[in-house]
Amino acid sequence: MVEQTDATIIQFNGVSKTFAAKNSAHEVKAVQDVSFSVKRGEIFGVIGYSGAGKSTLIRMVNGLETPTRGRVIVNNRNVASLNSSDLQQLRHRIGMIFQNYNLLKTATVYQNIFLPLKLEKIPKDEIKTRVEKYLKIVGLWDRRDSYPNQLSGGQRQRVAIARALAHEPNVLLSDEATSALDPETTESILTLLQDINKKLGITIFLITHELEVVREVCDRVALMDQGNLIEIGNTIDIFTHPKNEITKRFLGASDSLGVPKDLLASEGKDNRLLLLQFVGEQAKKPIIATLSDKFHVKPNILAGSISYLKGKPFGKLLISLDIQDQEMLKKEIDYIQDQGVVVKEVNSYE
Amino acid sequence: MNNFFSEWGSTLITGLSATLAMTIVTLIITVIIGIPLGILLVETNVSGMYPNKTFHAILETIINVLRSLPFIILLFLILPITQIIAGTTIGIRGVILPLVVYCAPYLARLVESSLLDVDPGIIEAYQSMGIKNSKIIFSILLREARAGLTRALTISTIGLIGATAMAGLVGAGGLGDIAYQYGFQRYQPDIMYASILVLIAVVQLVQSFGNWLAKKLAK
Ligand SMILES: Nc1ncnc2c1ncn2[C@@H]1O[C@H](COP(=O)(O)OP(=O)(O)O)[C@@H](O)[C@H]1O
Ligand SMILES: [Mg+2]
Repeated sequence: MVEQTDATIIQFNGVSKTFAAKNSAHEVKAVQDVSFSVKRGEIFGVIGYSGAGKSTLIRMVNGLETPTRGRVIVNNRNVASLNSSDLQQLRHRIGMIFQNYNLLKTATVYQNIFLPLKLEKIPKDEIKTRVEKYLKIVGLWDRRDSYPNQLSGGQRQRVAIARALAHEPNVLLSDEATSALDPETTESILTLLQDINKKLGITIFLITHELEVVREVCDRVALMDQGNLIEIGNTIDIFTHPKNEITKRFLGASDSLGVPKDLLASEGKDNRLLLLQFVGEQAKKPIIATLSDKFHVKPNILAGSISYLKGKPFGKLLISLDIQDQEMLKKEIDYIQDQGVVVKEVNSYE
Repeated sequence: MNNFFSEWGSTLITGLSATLAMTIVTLIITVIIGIPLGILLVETNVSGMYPNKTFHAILETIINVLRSLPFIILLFLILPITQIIAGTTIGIRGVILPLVVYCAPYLARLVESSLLDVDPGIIEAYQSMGIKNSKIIFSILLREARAGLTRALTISTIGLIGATAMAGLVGAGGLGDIAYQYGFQRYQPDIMYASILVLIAVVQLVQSFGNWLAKKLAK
């Protein structure tokens, strides 16, 4: 059971969803006994391979799917128990964006945002104000008279975001919103989502199979596999200390950073192999150089990588240190740890 | 040429106006019945907004039965019903009901397929915004399907014009009737060809207009 507090905006309580399979005797267990909650104001991501049950999970938040067991509570309301008019009310407070944008091809950018508000019977003046406001936020006010097929994928997703925001929701759901976009466009959409989260204070609950998406924007992340919630935690912790084997595999977080086994084995004979992980400022410190000055050792660098983690540089370095002097080695490791670097021993036979 | 027109002009014009009258009146009623039927076919299906297996199966059966009957058979088959509803079984009045019964199920099928062409993701997006299903159908689904619906109407109209050619059998006149009466029964090929040419021109016109409109509405 997850505790319900004011800080909680979405809560999954022992949620399962089973589909009756169309052409086979056994059913599909898309989501299995999942419990966790999303906090107000955060960006929460669920990652997992295709078919893991992510879409099914997110669709239960706004009642597009109904759980077979358990409860999904959003804005303090049990989604499945609402009558249709209450569900509509709740849905006005939950925006959703999709991989395929789902814009009307017969309507201009302006109309695409205007129409749903009109169908909600919001006063016309209010609608006009909102359309302008949110089209400006997504940077497409000057394209208001274009049709979706005259826009790029990234621009279409911006229109879809403006459409979702125009309902002034307090949660935005994103089902693979960047999965059809190229890396640069993905980047710009992610920046926009972060802006929306910060400036408008909208909670974002996203699902994706793309690692970069959660790594760059999510405060917390959960990994799903075959309907089960495998691991959940702060993005930085999950990326630096994944606990579960499936998580490690998914993160591509083999500690050997892809160095061939035979090389690891030969290097590991008289050396200790260490994986150093730096986040943020530490990534810029010349730790290896200082280490070799201070202890007069020559660490061998076997592999390295750098990427962004929540907007901060995230570096990994696989080094080997001489094993002869155990005491010295311990001091060296302590020193590295004192610099705020996460140190992990790597088995040469891993 | 002048001779031909002074001799047959008024016959052709009478025939054309009878064809147009039958087509337009039938079309209006067909649209009123066929489009809702098409919507029902889609929305009462398992994948629709109001799934109802029994209702859907009954609707399917009726539409399939009606669609398997050639117009000429239908015309005679429903004579008693025509008599009750239209008060007559002859003339333009007497042919409207059979034409509608023939055409509406056809249009319903075409409407069904153009509605199914609308990306279900769009419907889902509007549901996720908390918009009522009925509003989604009338303001979103029909709007997004409008190019396909225009093509469906064009095809139905042309099918309908074809069916009106047989209306002569119950004395409703029309271009098809002229071709049959003069061409076949009295062997006067010039008037037969003239009426066929007018018929072809009407069909061409409908098709071109339909294509143009569908393209304009597609965006
Ligand atoms: N409406 C449905 N009917 C039957 N099976 C479904 C349905 N929706 C999803 N599934 C099945 O549930 C599983 C999880 O799907 P989904 O939630 O879409 O995964 P993901 O979004 O992680 O790729 C898959 O095996 C999928 O085939
Ligand atoms: Mg999915």
